[in-house]
Amino acid sequence: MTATGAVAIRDVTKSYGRAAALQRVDLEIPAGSFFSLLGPSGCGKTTLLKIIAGLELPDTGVILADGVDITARPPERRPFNMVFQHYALFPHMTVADNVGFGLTTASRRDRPSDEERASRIAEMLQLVGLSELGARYPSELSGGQAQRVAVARALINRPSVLLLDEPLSALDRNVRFALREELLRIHQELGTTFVFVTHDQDEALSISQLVGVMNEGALEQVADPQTIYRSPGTLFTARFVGAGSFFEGTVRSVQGDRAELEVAGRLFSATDAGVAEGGRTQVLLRPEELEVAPSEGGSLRGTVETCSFFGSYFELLTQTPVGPCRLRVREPVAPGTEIGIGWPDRAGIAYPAEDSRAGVDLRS
Amino acid sequence: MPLSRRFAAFLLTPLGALLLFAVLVPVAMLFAFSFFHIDALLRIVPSFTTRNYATVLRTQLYRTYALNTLLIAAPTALLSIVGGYVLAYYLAFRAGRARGILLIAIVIALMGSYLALIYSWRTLSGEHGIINSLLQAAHLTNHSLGLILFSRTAVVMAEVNFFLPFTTLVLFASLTAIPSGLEAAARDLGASRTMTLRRIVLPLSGTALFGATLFVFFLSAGDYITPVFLGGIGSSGTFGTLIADQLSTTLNYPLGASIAFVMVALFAVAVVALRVAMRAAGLLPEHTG
Amino acid sequence: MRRRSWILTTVAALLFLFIYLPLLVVVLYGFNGGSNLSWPPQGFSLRWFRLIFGEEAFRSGLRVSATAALATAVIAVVIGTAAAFAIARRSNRLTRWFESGSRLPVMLPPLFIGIALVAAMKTFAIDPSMLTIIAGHVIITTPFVILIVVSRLRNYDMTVEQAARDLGATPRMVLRRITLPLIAPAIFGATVIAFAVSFDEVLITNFTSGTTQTLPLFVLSRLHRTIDPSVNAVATILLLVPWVVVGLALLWQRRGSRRGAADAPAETLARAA
Repeated sequence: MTATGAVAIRDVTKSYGRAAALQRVDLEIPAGSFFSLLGPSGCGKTTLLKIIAGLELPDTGVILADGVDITARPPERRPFNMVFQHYALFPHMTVADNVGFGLTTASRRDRPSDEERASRIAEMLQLVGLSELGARYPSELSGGQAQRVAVARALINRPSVLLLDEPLSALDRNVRFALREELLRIHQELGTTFVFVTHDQDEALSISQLVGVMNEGALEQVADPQTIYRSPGTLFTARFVGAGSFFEGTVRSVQGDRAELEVAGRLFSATDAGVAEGGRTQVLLRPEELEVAPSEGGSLRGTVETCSFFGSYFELLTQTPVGPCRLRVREPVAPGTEIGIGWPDRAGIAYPAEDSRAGVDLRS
Repeated sequence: MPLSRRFAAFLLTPLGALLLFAVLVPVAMLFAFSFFHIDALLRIVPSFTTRNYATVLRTQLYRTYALNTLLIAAPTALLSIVGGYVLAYYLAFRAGRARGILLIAIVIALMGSYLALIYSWRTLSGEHGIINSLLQAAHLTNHSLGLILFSRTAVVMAEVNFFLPFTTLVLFASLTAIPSGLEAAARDLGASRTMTLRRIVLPLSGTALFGATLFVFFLSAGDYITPVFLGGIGSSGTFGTLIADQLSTTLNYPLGASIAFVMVALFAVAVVALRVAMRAAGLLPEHTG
Repeated sequence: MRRRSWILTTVAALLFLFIYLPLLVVVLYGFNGGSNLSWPPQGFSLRWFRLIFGEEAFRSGLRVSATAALATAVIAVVIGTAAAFAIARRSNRLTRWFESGSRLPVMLPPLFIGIALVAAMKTFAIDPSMLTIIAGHVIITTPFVILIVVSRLRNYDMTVEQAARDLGATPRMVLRRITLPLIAPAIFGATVIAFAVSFDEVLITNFTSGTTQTLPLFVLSRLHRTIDPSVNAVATILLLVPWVVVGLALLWQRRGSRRGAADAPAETLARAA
């Protein structure tokens, strides 16, 4: 059996009045993958998801499902189903009726028998671990339970693609983590394509096979989570995904994928991400790449401003001549302490400095 | 689900027809009638004249009526609003568990009959009525007090009684729409309880106060039954009874119509006056979120 | 602080007493055995009810009022609900205009609407009848229906409709299986309010009824006479009919509220008013 559930988006544009929500988006989502759309609020990710679902129509462009153009199909005739951010459970129906709703919408001829419906509902409730709660009403469920019901309801028609619109963002932290793993398990069990919209980078990186980073209605980068984290393709992605420090500097020379930079009066080499010789640059350094240098050593000197405890490590926020800098240490350091900061050669990534927000720290 | 333009128009057609044929056309007709006059046989003569308006504006009696209307409608509106605000405040912030049942009680009272209330106030305040028999039974007085019935007070009491459930519900709705943290935040910033009420709670319910005040004022001024049955010789003459009289007794319909339009014009003045006053008092903010 | 809330509670209690005392007096004296309206009432009796039900004028008034109220409720709910959908689901200049226009009849005194209807009736030679009575009632009850249904349509989570579409429901199915069940309590509440308002209406009816006498008009004609204890019985009925209807509605909504389809019943009505 060939895998189904590939989605292709070709040159999709959408605007609301004068505001452009999506600008010429092209995207291939492989069949069976767990794909995340990651971006800040208002970046267009939910609009894109709704266009895939058929709940919104694109101004231009086409949507293909396994190679078939479905752009003009209404949502009820697409082989996709959706899990909504705030569950969108039908408040006047029991859990079982909610889950079974998708089986009752086909024409009378194609509708499954009552027995089959009951068994499919039971199967779905078991899949999400809620077999006992079929008779309850949505108002009697916790947030986590409600979202499981929403997942079961969306899966009952065996869609080739499950669309999830920030399904975990309304939940408490512990429930969120449990449900995250639950979603991974269901994905592995069913092999259905999952398209998962989120603004939470940890969530996107931890569960997806592929992540598409969106900004201002356009895709910045589509890659696997490690690549997104280790080699962000653009300054936006670098700032949005993961914590990091951005040092301002000047590009001395570029050779191959290496760039020789001058930062705070010292020369060092970093991976080139499109800088031009003689231009200004922003160099990304992840906190785990930086270390407190032995006394008098290191490339930079910084003053510790805050020291926060994270369980397995402490994170220092320091002020340096080239901007704020975050680094991780095993033992706490008192604020006010002067330290040397060092990093291995070839660790940083150099981006062209594109705006005046140099040094602004966009952690989370 | 958004509707197509055509379907929306289809859905609005019955309402449009109702507003056009049952409200706008009749009001236009009424306006036309206000420029007609009647002949000696009380027939309406459809020729243009402004004499009705001249009569209304010149006759001293009508000025007395206008004043009397104001002396009934203004206290009625004021008392209904103040009482309603107290009740609404209590229901919104102090009633606790009793809130649900008390709200139902208010809704039930709202459905109370207008005529039954008038009748009841007559029973209560009549010469041989309950209030007097109670007073006599308690030997507080030997002779009947004819004070309450057939007075402005009786009219105002009955009307306030009728409007209170309404103002309570409207103000309750606006008070519960105020985010719960605001009062606490104001208190936390050092505002006293009175200051919080004056500077936070009252302005945020300003729109409801404005609307409910006008609503009660208009209805009270246009009421033509309560003043007749509860008002005395000097206090039953209001715009409402005057207009109704033109239709049922005097049979001068064009004059009644012109009095009605003068009344509406005075209402417009009242709207502006209340708006200016509330703005000046800071009770009608332009932005309430 | 304690003392202040004690004062507020007392004032609130007195206001409740003020609202309810006259209503209770009507009901109490409706069942009074004596023919005097002085305190205390003289024993329990149904004599005034027997007396009043023996009168043809009363019985026909009750019939006329019930018919008018039922017809008004149905017509106002149909017109109002249809308009509410357009107003809540399509926001443009036209729908906004209709939304504020629909409030006009409530802002005008009933007397004004009454004499305006007389003007139209005189102009187009329409005789007063049951139809003109109902027209007057529909004018003032439709705005309430619109207010109630629009606020319900605006308050509920629209994504449930998207979810239903996504699960294969056609727009018609969404309307029948999701939207209508979810706004049913509001429509029902609007029906009840329209019925109650119409049943009690007298200020407009007085001008549009001609020789047809509704129950409130029957009471009005009795008010002109000297105090008549049988009026207490009629007034009791005027009170009890809407109360029973509203009471049943509240019970029904409370039963349904487990499903989360409705807000707390009284608050729904409160918002409506």
